[in-house]
Amino acid sequence: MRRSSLAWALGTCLLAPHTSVLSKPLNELSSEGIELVFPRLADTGNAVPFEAQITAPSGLHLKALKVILPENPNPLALQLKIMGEPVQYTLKTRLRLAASQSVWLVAVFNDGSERAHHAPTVITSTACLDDS
Amino acid sequence: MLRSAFLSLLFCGSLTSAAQTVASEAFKLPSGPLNQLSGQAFLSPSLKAMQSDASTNPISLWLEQARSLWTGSSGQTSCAQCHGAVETMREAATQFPKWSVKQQKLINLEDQILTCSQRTPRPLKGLENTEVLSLSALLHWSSAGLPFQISAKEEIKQQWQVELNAGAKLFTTRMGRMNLACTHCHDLNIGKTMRADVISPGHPTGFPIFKLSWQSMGSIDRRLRACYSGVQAEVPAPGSPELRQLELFLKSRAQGMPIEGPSLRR
Amino acid sequence: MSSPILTRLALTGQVKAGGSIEARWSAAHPMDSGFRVDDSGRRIPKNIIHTVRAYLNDRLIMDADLGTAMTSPVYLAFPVLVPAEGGIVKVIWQDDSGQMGETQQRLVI
Repeated sequence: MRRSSLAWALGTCLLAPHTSVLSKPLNELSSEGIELVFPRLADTGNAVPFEAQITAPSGLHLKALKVILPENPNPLALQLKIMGEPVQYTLKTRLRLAASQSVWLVAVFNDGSERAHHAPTVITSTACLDDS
Repeated sequence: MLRSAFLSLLFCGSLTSAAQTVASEAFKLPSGPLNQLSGQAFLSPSLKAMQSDASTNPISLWLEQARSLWTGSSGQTSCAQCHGAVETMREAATQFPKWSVKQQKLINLEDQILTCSQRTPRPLKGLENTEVLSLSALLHWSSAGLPFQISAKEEIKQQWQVELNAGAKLFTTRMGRMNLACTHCHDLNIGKTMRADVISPGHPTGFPIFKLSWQSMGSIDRRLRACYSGVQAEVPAPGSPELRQLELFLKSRAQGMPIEGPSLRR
Repeated sequence: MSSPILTRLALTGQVKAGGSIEARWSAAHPMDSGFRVDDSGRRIPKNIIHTVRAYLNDRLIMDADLGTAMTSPVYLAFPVLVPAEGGIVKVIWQDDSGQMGETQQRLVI
């Protein structure tokens, strides 16, 4: 439990420069309208497929997305500014994870409001040492 | 590690994340004899999906690089100038390793590509060179569906047999700190799991591979070297004769299995 | 540093005016995070693609800042709204060494 709360505290500290642009801590934001596709068990930490489907609240459209990996040395994995005022958006990419963790997706809308959702994964590594 | 993952799930306050789709279903091996399965059967659904579409498959980048190298559209000396269209080289990848009378050793396709490139104004260096691997990928892609056709001409049959026997001996000899022979896992324990790995019979039908944990393409030479480190044995240098002998043995063992073309691995 | 980086742009989905297709972009860039060391123990300097911008008919539609958590080869898929007149989707990238590249595909209704 201690390790987990230390990791969470560290993650939050690392997020500090980034959370300064957010209105609230991530876990207080609503996750409505966000669907994440992320494997529960990742084949390898070096390439974890990630998909985010975002539907904007009615009357609003999407302006920006952030993908955050709190346990990575550089937690801000990807930041997108979106033009064209979409109400639906699907983002797909592949991420490198330093350790098992949750990926966070933050969606920013045109009125400045934010929503966030997260999905956990456990990194599996190859059973045999690879020194090739 | 699993415990802290579980606890951090609790911490995040959501055990029933209805908005998260589990991308990978439980991995299942097909029914039937396991010892004839290629590595393809051991891919997770997520990797199978990635491989199935050229627009998501990382190997597409290497294949496109190879096509442009082959035809010389980037303004350099091209393979096509000597070899013609790549379609005419369809059988090339099925015939390696070969015994080179000139070099008095077994050579594989990547060795041959390196040798060929020495005759051009742009000689390539290193078995794991990106261009070598991309050309190997293209040639194996052209051979997809064809079985290995390793054979020796009459005049070198004796030497051939010596190499094949050496490969068979390596496959069944214990090595490394773990004191294991290849056969212990890849013949006797196929289908069993080690951590999150499921042991395959180790057939060489999917080379060159894009291994996600390498984040790059790699040859059979590299993968076999990784096997040596896997049993904590001294890793042979790239191009070592034992690696070619093992490759020869593995392809003989896989006689009749079709080449799958360059494949993804985790 | 100056070897050309191969990129690939695929536009997938049914192309209908007013509809949406998916642009799938990938680049064979080493994406060196700056954390790796080579065989002699020397740190490999950071060199990643840090900016990717997508244009539809020369209008910016997506502006991405990439971090070291992006895999090599880089893969990014995003939606593109299909205009009635069709057009060209262009994706440009830039890395830490200053190298840049661009790829484009035509949207045909």
